[in-house]
Amino acid sequence: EVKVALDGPPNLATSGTYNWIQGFSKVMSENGMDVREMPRGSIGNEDEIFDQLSTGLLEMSQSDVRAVARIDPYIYGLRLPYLFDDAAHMDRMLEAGDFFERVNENLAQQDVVLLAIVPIGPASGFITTEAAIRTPEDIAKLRMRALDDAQLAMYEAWGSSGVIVSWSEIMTALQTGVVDGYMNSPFVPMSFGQTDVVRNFSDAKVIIPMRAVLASRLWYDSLSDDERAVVTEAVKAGDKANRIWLDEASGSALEQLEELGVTVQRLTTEELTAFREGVRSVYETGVVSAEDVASWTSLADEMR
Amino acid sequence: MWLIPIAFVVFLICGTAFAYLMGAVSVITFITLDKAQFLSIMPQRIFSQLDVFAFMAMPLFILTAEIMTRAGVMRCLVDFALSVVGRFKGGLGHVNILTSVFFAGVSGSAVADSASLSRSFVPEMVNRGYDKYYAGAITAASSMIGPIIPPSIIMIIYGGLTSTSVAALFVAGIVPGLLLAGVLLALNVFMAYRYDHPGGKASEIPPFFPSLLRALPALCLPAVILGSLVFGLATPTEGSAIAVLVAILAGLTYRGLSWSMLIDAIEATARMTGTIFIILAAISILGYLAGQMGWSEALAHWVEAFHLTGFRFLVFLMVIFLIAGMFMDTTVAVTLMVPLFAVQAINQGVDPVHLGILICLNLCIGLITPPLGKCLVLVAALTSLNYWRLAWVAMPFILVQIALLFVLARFPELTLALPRALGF
Amino acid sequence: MRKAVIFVSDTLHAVIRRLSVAAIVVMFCTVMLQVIARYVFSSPPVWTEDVARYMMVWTGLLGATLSFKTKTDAVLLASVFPDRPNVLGYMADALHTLAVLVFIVPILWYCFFDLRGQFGRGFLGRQSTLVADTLGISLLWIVAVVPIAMLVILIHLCAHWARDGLRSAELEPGK
Ligand code: NA
Ligand code: NA
Repeated sequence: EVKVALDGPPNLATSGTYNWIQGFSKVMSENGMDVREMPRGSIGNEDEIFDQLSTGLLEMSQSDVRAVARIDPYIYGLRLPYLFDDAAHMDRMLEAGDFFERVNENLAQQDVVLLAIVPIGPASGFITTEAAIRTPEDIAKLRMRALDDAQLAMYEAWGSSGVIVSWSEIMTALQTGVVDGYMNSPFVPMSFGQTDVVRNFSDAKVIIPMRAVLASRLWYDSLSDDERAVVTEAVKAGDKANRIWLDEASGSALEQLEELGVTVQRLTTEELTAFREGVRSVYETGVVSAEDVASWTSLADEMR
Repeated sequence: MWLIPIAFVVFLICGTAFAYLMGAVSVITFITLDKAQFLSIMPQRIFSQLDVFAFMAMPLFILTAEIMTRAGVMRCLVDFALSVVGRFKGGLGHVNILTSVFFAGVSGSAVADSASLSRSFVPEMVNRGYDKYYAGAITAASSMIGPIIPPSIIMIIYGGLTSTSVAALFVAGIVPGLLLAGVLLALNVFMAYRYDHPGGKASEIPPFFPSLLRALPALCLPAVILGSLVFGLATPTEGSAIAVLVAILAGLTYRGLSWSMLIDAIEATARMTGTIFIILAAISILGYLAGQMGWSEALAHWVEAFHLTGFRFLVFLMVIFLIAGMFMDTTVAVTLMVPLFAVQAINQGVDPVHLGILICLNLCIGLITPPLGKCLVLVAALTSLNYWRLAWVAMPFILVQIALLFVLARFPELTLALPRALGF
Repeated sequence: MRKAVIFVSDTLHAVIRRLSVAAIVVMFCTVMLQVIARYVFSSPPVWTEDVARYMMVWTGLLGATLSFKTKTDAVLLASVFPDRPNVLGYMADALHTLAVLVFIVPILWYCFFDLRGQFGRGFLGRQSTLVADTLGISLLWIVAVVPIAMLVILIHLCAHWARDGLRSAELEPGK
């Protein structure tokens, strides 16, 4: 039995990671390996899940990218704004470079293996209560909720100010005006039922929001060659299922938001360029080392 | 398998503290189910389940009340309440209730309220010709306004366990807290005419404005906390730090808060936080066990078999929590029962804020219901009354509070209108 | 030996009383700093929330040793057995001790050892290679409170029995 810790509600319509796990499970069970889905929160939070992977008590998880970054910040390169044109561009880069080898070399000290990078939805934009955002000047007037230092640096690059607010307080913060908005995938306000409060979505396509599929090294190494081949096959099937969903979702997410009464700003190429140029300076803030940034950007240009 | 219930009962009757009882039984369960390897998660589990944003307000609100109590805030609140309602028939009963309302804005727990009022105020009521059991009963009954009107330790724990906004819970507690006070005042009026309770002599009533002035720092506190939450100026945690600051300033104006008093208050806070945290730690191990074994899903199926929905489901939950409250301490009950039942209720479409207020009131009623009513025990011990007779005299109060609980369950708007109007 | 255990337990209690006071003071100050920084400097430092939260955990777990030592933990049911020196009282106390050990010892063990009994690969070993998000220090320094609190509770437990033996030895001279 392969236990997988899920990262969210098992919803095929809105969850990219759940589509991944469905594609993965199908191949696994066809080959006699049963997958047991552990509901989000049932065996603990991110840190606990990572610890259970380390000790071999849990076989697989859909984890925060941060879990990996705590060992090797190299992976934060995936979150450099406007590094990728789209998910296909990202896939080509992950395929061509030695990303997985490099990360797994460092993850080995925690007995964890990175199996896949899974986009959870269409690219992130600005989700705001009042203001409609089309230019960096629009966002400079606002106070935005930041997830961490890296996001804080982005807002500062656009001339805006950020406040770190934990996710559990975000509704209160939006309603009371402590923050004017946040940055995330268009599905987030829908699946958290916030569309009465946030009235605007600006499709700035800043980053591709993603999760990391991790496995326990103790379990992975204990597999026979045949079983490991099945896992590799299943991971490919999961990736495929996720990208098929992502293509469909990217087409309809904005319309779904509009049906719920949210105003959607579709930005022109020039407007996107303004955001891209504005945020360029965060490549030098040191969250990812200069050397790593250089290797990420040159790879991105190569694969464009 | 038999080892688990046997260990539970044996440890229970030996008077083992709840945290160690639950912790030990969970460990034994892991071992008997042949899942001993999962014990290796314990240190990480305990740290992660305590390292929760919402819990941060808890120590600082406890500290606020500790400082205020040491600074003699109770006397000022009693004087002010006397100047407002002391002259009416049954006046001291009203004063008792009103003092609890004022103190509720300072303190997050009912126990502190009943302890300080029963020592100072019950003898005074007896001197003025009240039945001592009635005086004890009204003190215990009104003390539970404390955790309903913000701040509230129970709501902070509930918010942390269910990821519900503590700020929204605090705002939602105001109307039910005032309704509770109103219901108790009405019952006291009835009792005053029925048993001919005395009213205060005009000569003994302190003048209004001087007593208001002295009570003002304490009365300001809820306004400061709620104001900063409602206008989005501060999170509950920041509100709790501001409350500590106000308490220190108030302490300096009341009777000169000394260093040693302050250190003493902080140390008592650490100890009280410790009793709560070790329970949370033990329950987190039990929670992991439940997740591994799929108990929550099993319990959900069991509840589903009753085909209860909406109000009837809430009534079912309220009865379960009332029974739990009769036997358990509030902290114990909330940490044990909320993860088991509240998540399901929220999945069923019950508003988490509404449910939080109902659970809070529900478990507080448990503080004055036998066999284990903590506030009753405390009042009985501090005023040398017979526990069971006190419980009997408190019965009308218990009944009106249960009635109010079901009214609040039936009409969610009573609880939710204010937080919604203020944008939560 | 008994006196040594009691001395260690009492000294630790005194130290932890001061440490927990310090933890609350630091927590209060960082939260206040956060409020002031937001309104005065309009951008709060990112580390205040983490420091305050970790101080809360330290307060809670150090506080747990205080409540254990002072016997103020919440009890579901008071012991139904007569107090010591009645033999049933001793039995109840022994069972209570057993419950504490069953809960605490595995926590302490797995702080240091992993599943295969390897020292240094336990919880602390695994955390020592991780870095706290905004503080940039090893998580080891933050999570160390778990084994510290558990160890202190065990020492208090030993002192509880040591003190008891001492008293009865004093009561019955020559034994
Ligand atoms: Na209160
Ligand atoms: Na009262």
